[in-house]
Amino acid sequence: MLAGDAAHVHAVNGGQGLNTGIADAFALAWRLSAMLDAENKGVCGDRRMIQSYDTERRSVAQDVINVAARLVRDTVHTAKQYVGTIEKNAGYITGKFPLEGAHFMRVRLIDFQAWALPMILLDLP
Amino acid sequence: MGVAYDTSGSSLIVESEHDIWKAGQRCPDLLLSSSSGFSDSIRLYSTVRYGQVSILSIGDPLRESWPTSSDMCVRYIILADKQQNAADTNTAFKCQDIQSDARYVVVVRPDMYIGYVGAETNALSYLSQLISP
Repeated sequence: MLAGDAAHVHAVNGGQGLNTGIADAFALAWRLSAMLDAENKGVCGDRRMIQSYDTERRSVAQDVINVAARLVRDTVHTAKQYVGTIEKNAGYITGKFPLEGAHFMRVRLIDFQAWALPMILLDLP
Repeated sequence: MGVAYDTSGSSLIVESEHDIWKAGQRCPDLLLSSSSGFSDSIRLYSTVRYGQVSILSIGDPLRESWPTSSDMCVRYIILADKQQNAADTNTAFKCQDIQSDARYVVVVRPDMYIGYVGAETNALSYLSQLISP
């Protein structure tokens, strides 16, 4: 049986992963207990019980992945715009303008938090 | 979180709906009073142990023979606020979210999602998917 991140992999955006993993366990534990209960009674557990875990939680996982994917795509788009603006204004911001022969400053996006606060490192020559 | 299973195609959700109950949606956390009044009211969820299947008999006591062997299958009788109690005064709750003419049975799964709501005989047959005989 798979649950949590083993069952669904996606970007952090939306902060859904932990909740979904816990909810997977919450959905699975009673089903496993019911199957064990049947085994203890010497009857065959209903396969639909376990199959319904996959059907139900898979539909949730798909929705979670879709939301995270949409958010992270927006995030990357926004980040690229932001970095582009920084690059255009790097000279103004730092007061250092490229001299003939010197290489331009590079702006590196080193960390991008889920809530879209980029931390920018300016590489000075 | 707005998670619901009614459109998932799961075999453990039987499409059915009455008043505030819809199979595949989470069971409402009803405020229940004992028959003596709302001064000692409790929330439905606070009475539930994880793993418990809850049978909510709305408006009437249950008539069929429900399994009594499992302590994880708990039966509730829930009446409308204005309803007169039939027998079993001690075991019936009252709730302001119940319609006075409502008569059906809700089967709530251990994850607090509604599996089926409707006629008692159908509810009993749905239960066999959750609890083996």
